Amino acid sequence: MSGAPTTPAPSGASGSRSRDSRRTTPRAATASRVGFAGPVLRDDAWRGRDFSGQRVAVIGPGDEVARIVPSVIATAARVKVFQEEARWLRPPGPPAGSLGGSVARLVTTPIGQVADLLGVAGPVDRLVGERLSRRHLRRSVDDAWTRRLLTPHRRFGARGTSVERDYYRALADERCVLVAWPVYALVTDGVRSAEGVEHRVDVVVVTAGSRLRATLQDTDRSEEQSR
Amino acid sequence: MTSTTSAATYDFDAMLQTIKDKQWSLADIDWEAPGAELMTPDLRAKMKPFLADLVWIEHVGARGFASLATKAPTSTIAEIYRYFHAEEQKHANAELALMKRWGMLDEDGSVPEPNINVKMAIKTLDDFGDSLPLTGLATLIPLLECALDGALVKFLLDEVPDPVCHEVFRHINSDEARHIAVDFQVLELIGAGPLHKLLIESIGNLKPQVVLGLIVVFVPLINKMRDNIVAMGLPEQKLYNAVKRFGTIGGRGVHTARIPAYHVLKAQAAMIIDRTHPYHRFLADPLVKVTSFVPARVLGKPQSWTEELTHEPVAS
Repeated sequence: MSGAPTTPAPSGASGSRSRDSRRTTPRAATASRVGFAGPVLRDDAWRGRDFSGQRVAVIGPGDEVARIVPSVIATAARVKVFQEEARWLRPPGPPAGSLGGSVARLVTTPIGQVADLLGVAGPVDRLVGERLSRRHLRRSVDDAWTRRLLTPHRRFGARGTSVERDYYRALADERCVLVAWPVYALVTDGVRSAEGVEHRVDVVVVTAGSRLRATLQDTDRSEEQSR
Repeated sequence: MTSTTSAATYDFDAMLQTIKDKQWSLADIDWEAPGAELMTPDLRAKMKPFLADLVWIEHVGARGFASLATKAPTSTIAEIYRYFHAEEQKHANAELALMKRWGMLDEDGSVPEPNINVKMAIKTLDDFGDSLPLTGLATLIPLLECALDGALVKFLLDEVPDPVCHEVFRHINSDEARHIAVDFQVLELIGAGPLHKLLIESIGNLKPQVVLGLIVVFVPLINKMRDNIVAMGLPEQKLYNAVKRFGTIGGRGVHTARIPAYHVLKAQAAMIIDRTHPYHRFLADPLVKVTSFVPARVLGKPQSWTEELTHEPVAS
């Protein structure tokens, strides 16, 4: 059902959102294989794609899957999120121009300036940012174990932090499953992870920062050499 | 060798790569292969409660690795623990698949209910699992693995003639050998740290209510398991050898002996295997009895990780 393309297929194959395909490089648009029969989408190749009726695996670190999953779940039949590492996600602020946004800026801007002056902007941001992120997670995700899986071991700000937009809502969708087990292989019919289960999917999306990228590049190279 | 070996030179990156290369899946095993008929009704009846306990012990052990991953000394070790967490889950899943193969699960294939002591252990891990000190947990896990690997699994393989079971446990044993190797190397790494840090971590983190909680939960859990298997015919010598191995491997290290938790657990293990020790009469046996009266209701609902066990090799 995935139609396993043998030739590189242009991204946005559905053709409905051509503006997105401009952003993707030809490299990103290729569907690679690592023993997997269906397409492996990299970088922005998932954008504008219609996943109707398809089971999709999204593989990558927490902040990157968080950006992709909300769009994928909009059309996909089922989504399995293989989170390689939890990352901090800031709560979305109030929209610019709204009353809440103006009040928030009125309060935070001077605090930020004072902190900057005192040279403690970094620590203050870490302290406040981590608290806000934790609170946002606690309010958005009901299940305690899922919250634990989504909470990073690293300190806040040790890596750049992204803003959470619709990701937690997507995870709450019954068509969506969060898997934190490490992925060790893409096989003909799907994704194998270290808890011993083969997860059958039709399409695999691998984010830019995924640990699988090195494996994928090795496969590309050996395929090129064999040609 | 000299004190600069092991922890300082052990290549955790190479170990992580080996772990990745050695991954196996439930889908690699033919669960319908002949051999299940070798299991006599007597053997099935005898093995069912043992396997149900084993599945849950592996599953609880898996949760222990999840806690270790949060406080691993380096990011490579954290990633190794992430794999070990998954592998323990895989072992539990594979053992559940064996139970399914031998007709030990009900019609809908649901996971057997854990006993009250396992439920209490789950509750403890849910509440305190991530706040337990690294040294304690890092010492406890290899002890349990030595016992599991050296005594329980060997016993199982002696009793069960089914070749599929032997195939599964070849994989499991190979994984466990890596777990034990890494566990002891991490102890070396921790033991090589400054002594004052070890003492502060050992004494400073011991909140009385947590220590008491751990004793009430884990002493009867281990003792019940111990007595059940000995009653089933496991020679006590095997348990003795397994625990001796913990001391032998630990003794090979140069720095492990500096970890207070190592000595405490080694001493406790020696008491557990010696049934004549007062430990049983005055502490363990009464606790088994008392905890059997604890109603499961008071523990509340366990966290959802306890629902992740599956005997299905493939999920869609």
